Amino acid sequence: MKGRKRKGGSIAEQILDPAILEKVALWLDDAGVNSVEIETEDGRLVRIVAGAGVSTDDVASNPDISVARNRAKPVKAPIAGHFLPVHPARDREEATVGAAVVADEIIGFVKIGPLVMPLRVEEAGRLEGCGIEPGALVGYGDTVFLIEPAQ
Amino acid sequence: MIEVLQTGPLNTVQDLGRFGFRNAGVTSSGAMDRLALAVGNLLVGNDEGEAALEVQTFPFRLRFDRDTTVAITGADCDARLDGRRLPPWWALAVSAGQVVELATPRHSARAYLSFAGGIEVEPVMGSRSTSLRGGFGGLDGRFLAANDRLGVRPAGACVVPPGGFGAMPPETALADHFPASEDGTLLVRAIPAGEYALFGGEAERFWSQTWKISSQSDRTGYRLSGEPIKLVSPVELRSHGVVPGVVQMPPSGEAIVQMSDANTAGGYPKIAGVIDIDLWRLGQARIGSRLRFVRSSVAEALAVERAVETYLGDIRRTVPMLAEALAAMSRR
Amino acid sequence: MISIQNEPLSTPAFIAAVPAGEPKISVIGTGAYLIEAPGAFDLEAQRRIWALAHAVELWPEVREVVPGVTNLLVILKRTPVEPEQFEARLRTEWNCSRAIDLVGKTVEIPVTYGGEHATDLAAVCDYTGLTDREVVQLHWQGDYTVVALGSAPGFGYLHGLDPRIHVPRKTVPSLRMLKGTVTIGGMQTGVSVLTGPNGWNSIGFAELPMFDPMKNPPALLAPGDKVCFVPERIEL
Repeated sequence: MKGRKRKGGSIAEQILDPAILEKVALWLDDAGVNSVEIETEDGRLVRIVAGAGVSTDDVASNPDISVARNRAKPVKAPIAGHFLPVHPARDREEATVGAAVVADEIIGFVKIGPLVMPLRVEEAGRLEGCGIEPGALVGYGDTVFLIEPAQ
Repeated sequence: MIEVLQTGPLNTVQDLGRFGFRNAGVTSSGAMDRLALAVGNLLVGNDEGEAALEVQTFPFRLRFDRDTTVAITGADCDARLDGRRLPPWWALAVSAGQVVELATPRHSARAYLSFAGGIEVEPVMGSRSTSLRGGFGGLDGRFLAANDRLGVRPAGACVVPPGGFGAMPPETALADHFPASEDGTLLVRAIPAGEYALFGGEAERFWSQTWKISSQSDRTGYRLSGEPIKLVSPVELRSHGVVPGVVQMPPSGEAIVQMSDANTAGGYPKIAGVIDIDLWRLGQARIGSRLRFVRSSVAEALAVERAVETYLGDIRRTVPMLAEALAAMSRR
Repeated sequence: MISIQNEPLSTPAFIAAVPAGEPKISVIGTGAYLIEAPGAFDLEAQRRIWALAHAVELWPEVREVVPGVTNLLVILKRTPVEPEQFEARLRTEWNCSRAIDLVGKTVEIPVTYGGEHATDLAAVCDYTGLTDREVVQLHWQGDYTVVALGSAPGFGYLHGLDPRIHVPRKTVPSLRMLKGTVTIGGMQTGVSVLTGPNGWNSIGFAELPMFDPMKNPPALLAPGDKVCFVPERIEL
């Protein structure tokens, strides 16, 4: 079941407003729905998923690449926003596929409004892949990278 | 407290500057890149103008004597915390005993280390900026040395996500308002000043040629090398007040741009004045790099100023919202 | 050492006729306006600049004003939305400003003339054709007015130097002139406030600190102050 309504204002502000976020999430839980889509005045979609968080646009285009890869550990988006594999002040990726990564290493970013959030490795290993296109919108908790844990 | 473990010369405590005393011959001082200082402060929950460390000689190493929040903005110095790489324009929580290290940047000139609460030094004439020439302000009016210990003022609670977070660099966020040239030459917008007309036909070359920032350049001013630009006939000016950004043309015909530690008075003919909102970019220009002046207007400057205010306002508003949103999500 | 009259800066002492000619107004960047009095240097124009400074520094959009030698730099808090209007207001204010005498304090500065720090005294004698004793006497007998502060923290440009000891700046500056050195530069004199390179001609030395950042105001001298040099010792 999906609900839909119009709402104005800055998308970043709306989806970051914790009061709204909590209210909507509670409402979703109460109503027993999985997600709600909100269309902003500039025509963009915000999807709030019960028990997960928020994502915007491209609702169907973020495949869950962790499926069928059992051992690989996901690096998930800490917040909804645009995925940046390269820091905007740099000209190279923080980590390339195949490279060894260590725990707490920052291997990419999610841009949310004027801010940048880190995509961090939890456990040392090898960067196996990235399922998101540069600049694409990701939702909270979406898997962005997969890490093959070290032996 | 923080302790300087390793530093080159000329790294100082700076805030947004000291105002109201130019009529007594006191330079404003202040960060060369005021935008990087402001962003760093906003990321750690400070007001834009708190005192921070301006680092322009490297390597620079610092140890934290207590848990705090730090932001590193401005030049990308391949910063490391206990050896682990940090992204540029980044803020994070650090623990007592951890060491942050900044290496020589490849592109820009100056990095800023901002701390939640701001650097604790006694304000002099309303500012914590170091006046090296006057020998006051900042840390005893001098530049930092190894083993220096500086206090950090008390700060309110500052929630930082694990791993930290950053700001979009102004070059990216404001790319539409700070145009870049195709060949990498820095474009600096300026408005003709008092004696512009006295350079006659030569003045055109001020805009058209590429200038190189000579090695005789520092926080006081940049000397630019290029094809000399001469007055049509000599002129004798009386001593008058000047401000950072003034482009003077001494008899040699090679331009001088006065910067943060600019003399308060001058007597050289003034060919142009850099628009205030472009000074931070000039403050990040390195010795040996090239720049071109682009003729601008007050209307253009105002539009850029508004864009910068919006950018800073967005950061100011979004930082606390981000912390709350993360807290809300972790509760669910 | 310092006799202070209570009146701080501005009390109009007499009204002068408005000199002919328009001031020149120019900009430095987006937030600074330089207004230059027309005509040759004289104290009359300087008094009018002081009057203008006192009026303009009260304008809400003005961050600070910097009086120079017959000119005034006005620094704004923000880039003006209507720059032409601001320039017009400045011009109007100049046109209705009347010269004021700043009722300042009188500062006595004890000086050791000659001696180890007067490294240019011989050159001053050569240039002026006077003896060292005559140069020193002409210097301490003068009545000086602080025209403006600038160049370094607390440095006062002093007007009133006897024309017989006007000496141009040196073509090769001294690399490390001590702070406190009493100097002549063209038609002006002053006491250096920082140790460093200096192109003015040294003729003596003064111990009196001209600037203390912890004091309010930090500068000993202010525009309009009178200065007397007191020959404490003459080492010739």
